[in-house]
Amino acid sequence: MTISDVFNSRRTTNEPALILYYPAGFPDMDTSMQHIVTLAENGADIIEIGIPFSDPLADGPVIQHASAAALAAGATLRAVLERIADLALDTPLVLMSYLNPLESLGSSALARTAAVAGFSGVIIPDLPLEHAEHWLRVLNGHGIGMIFLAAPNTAADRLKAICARSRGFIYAVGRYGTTGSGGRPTDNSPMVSAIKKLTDTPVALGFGISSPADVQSAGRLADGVIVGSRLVEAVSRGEDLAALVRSLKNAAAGARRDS
Amino acid sequence: MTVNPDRLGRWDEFGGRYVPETLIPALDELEAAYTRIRRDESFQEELAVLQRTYIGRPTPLYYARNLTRKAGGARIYLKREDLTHTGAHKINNTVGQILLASRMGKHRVVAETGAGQHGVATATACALAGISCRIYMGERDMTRQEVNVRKMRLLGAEVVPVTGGSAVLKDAINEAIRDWITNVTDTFYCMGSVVGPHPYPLIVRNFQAVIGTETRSQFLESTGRLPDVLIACVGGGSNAMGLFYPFLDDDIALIGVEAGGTGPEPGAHSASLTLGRPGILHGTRSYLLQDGHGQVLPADSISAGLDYPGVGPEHAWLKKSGRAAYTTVTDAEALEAFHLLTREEGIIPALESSHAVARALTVASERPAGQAVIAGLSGRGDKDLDILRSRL
Repeated sequence: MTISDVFNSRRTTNEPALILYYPAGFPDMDTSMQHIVTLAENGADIIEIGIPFSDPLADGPVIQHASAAALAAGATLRAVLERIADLALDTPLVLMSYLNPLESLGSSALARTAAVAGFSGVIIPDLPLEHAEHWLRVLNGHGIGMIFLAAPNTAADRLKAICARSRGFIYAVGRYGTTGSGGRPTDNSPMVSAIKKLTDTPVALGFGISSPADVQSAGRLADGVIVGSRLVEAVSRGEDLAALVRSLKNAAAGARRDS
Repeated sequence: MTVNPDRLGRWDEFGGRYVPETLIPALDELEAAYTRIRRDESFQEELAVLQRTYIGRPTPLYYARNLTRKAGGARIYLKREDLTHTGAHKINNTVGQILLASRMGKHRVVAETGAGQHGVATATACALAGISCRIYMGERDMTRQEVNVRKMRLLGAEVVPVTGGSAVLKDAINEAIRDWITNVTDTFYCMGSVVGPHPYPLIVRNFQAVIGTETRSQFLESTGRLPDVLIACVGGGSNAMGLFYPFLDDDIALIGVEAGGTGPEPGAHSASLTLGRPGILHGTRSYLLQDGHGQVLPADSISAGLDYPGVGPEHAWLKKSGRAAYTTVTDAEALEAFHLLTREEGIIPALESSHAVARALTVASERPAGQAVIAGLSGRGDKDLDILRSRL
C-alpha cells in the first residue's frame, strides 16, 4: 500500500486518513516497536516514525521528553531503521527527523536503508525548501518523497513551491507553536483551501490535534489528520493505546458524516 | 576574501536558514527591515548617538604595559569593551536590535542568555525602548550568574528558567525559539551572538563591528600602522567577529580562543571549531560538538558565556578558508590570566575575556618587542566573583 493508495481509498469512504506519529525508542526500543504495531493494527492509515534528537526545537514538552528518554535508552537512527525493517508493516511509513542525525548518517546511506525499511516519505522540520535540493534528489532517487510543511503564515508564492515539491502529502501546521497541545490555535480553513487550490496532492493537518473532537473538526477540513503528542502522553500515563487509537479512528470515520 | 553571505545566508557551506517553516516569514520580514535600516540615515544617527551617550563609546584601546613586561615580547593592547554600559560588548548588539524591533513595530522581545550578559543587555535596551521582554536562561546558569538574574528582573524583564537538556545556554536558545514560533506574529527575537538562522549572524556581526572599526582607527592614530595580531574569545563568537571583521582584508593574524574547559574529552570543553565537526543546530550550519549519531553533546566551561556546543557560521568559514586560526585555553589557564590581569593592571576581566588574555600572553611572548597584539576584553568580571569564590 502506498501513501496515495491510502488517500484514494479514504476519499472513496469520504473520511480523512488517520496519520499517527510515534517516537521510536520511547520508552525503549522494544516497547516502541510494540506500540507502533499497535497503531498499525488499530486504525493508523499512515505511521510517522519520529527519530529522537537532542534539540527538537519544533516540538513541545511531551515529544521533547520522549526524545530525551529514547536517547537515554540508547536509540539511534541506524537501530530504528533496522528494527522498523524487521516489523515489515503493510501500513505506509514516513520518517520524521531533524536534519543533523540524517546528515550524520549521510544522505545516500539514509535513503538506501530507509527505502529498505519500507519508508516512502521523509519529513525534516528544520530543512526548508531553499536548502532541500540535495535531499530531494537523493531521496527521490530511492523512491522516497519529501513531505514539506506549510505554516499558517506561509506566503502564497512559497506555498506554491511547497506544493510543487511535496510528495505523498503536504503537512499543514495547524497552529502557531510547537507540537502538542500548547500554542495558539488558528482558523485553518484559509490555509487548507489555499493549498487545495494549488495542488491535487493531499493535505494533512497536524500540531495540537489530540482528542476525537479535534480529529473530527480537522478531518472535515483536510484529507488527513496527524496525531502525535497525545499518543506519547497515553503511553507515559499507562493508558490503553489500542483503545485510544480506535477512538481516534472512529472519530475520523465519522468526521464528515454528521456535517 | 568573502565577507558577506550569499542569497541564502551562507558563507560557503556555512550558515543558512535551517528552521521550521513558521519562522521563514519572520526571517524574511527581519531581513527586509534590516536591509532598510542599513541605509536609513535617521536610524544610523539614532544608533550613533546612543553608542556615544548611552553605551559609552568609543571604548578605550589600552596599552597594557605591565602585562607586556610579564609576557616579555610584543606589546599587548586591550580593547576595553568591559567599560561599556552593562559591562560587556553585548550592549552594542542589543541597542541596535531593539532599535530595529521598535522600527518594525514589535512590542514584545524574547531572548536567550548564558552568562546573563546578553540578557542584561537586552533587558536594558528594552527598558530604554519601553518594550516588554522575556529572557530564557538555563537553570544551571541562573544559579552561577545569580547577580545578572537579579539585574534583569530589576530592569523589568521576565526571566524564565529552562530545565530541559543540561539547563544551559543551548537549552535556553531552544526554548526561546519555541516561544518565537508560538508568538511569531508580534514578537522580535533578539539573538545574542553571531549564531542562529540568516540574517542573525550578519546583523549581530554588523552591530558588533563597531569594536573593530574603533580599534582600527585608534591603533592607526596612535602608531600610524596596523597591529600584528588580534585575539578574542569565541563562544558563539560575537565579540570576536566584531573585532575581526574590519580587519579581514588586512595582512594581520586573527586568533579565536575557544574554551578548553577541563580537557579535550567530550562534554569537558566548548571547543566547537577545534574539536567539533560541521552540523546543524539552531537554524545554522556550522561546526558543532556532536556524537557519531549527530546528537549534540553538552559543552562545558568555567565561563557560562562560552558554554555553547555550536559557533557562528562566519567563524566556520574563517577557519575553513584559513583566514583565522582557532585555539583553546583551559579553565585553569583562563583563571591564571584572570588573576594576572587583575593584579598587574588593576582590571578585573570576565572569565570569558580571560581566555583571550591568556592566549595574548603566550602569543606576545613568542613575538618580538616591535610587534603589537590586541586582545578583546569583552566584559568585566564582577559577575564571576561567586564562581571564583567557589573555586578557592
